Amino acid sequence: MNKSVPTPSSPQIRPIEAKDFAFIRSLAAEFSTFTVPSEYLLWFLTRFHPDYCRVIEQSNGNVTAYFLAIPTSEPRNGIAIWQAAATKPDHAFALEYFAVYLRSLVERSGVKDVFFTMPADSASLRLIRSLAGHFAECEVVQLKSVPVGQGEYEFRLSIHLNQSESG
Amino acid sequence: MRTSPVGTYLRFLRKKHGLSQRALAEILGAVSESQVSRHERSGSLPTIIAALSYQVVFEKPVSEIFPGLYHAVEISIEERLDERARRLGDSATDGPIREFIARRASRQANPEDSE
Repeated sequence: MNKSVPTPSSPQIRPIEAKDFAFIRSLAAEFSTFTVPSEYLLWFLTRFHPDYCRVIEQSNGNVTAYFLAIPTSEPRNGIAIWQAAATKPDHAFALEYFAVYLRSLVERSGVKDVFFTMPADSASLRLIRSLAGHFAECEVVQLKSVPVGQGEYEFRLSIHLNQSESG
Repeated sequence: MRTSPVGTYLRFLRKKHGLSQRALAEILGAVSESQVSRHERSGSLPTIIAALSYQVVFEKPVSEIFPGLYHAVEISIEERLDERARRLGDSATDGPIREFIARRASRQANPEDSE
């Protein structure tokens, strides 16, 4: 297992393509609480919600992280993040990059609430709370437990950007 | 939106302060405009002088200005400490490390006691 801190290499963020499906499925399989998305589901999400599905690609062409989300109809103007994952040791960097992307998505789409689920004691939650404070000056609110097992809880970020902050 | 360089909190902070990369480089002095650009798109790590300069300018700790880098370092050290704790023996170097790990665990369990 590589425990070294990654060296920056001018990574790019781009839409998910069919060639990324194998990577996404392979990485999802490493997490016990993740559902491995079928290729059809990945095609469906990227076909109809392309702005909500992204990968991080390093300068050497290696894809190291992915992000899958959908717009919500209840509540309106929301984003629900289904999965966000990265290979070690890029995890923390990827969360920062996705937070920036998510903020730009919020600015473009007028989104007010971002939802995600994860275990309440997850180490990643500390970084997510920190990023939420940095980028949106909002707190991560823990909601109800997910009723279908896995020990996860629903979390919400309510984002209210000042006019001067957006654009 | 197509392929684009990743965004970082450093870039967000600069824009929030209404500064161009050139203006920020002028204020920093020790960092060039192209270096600011590279730091903003994770093209290179800032030197300690550059990192501290950003801290002075934005009045935030380095750990907040580079959250991904900070947490990557934090995770790396925590994993190394966990692994080291599992391999502790009776050698001369293990004593101080054992004490360090115990003190650190105690501080994390009772953060108010260390203040």
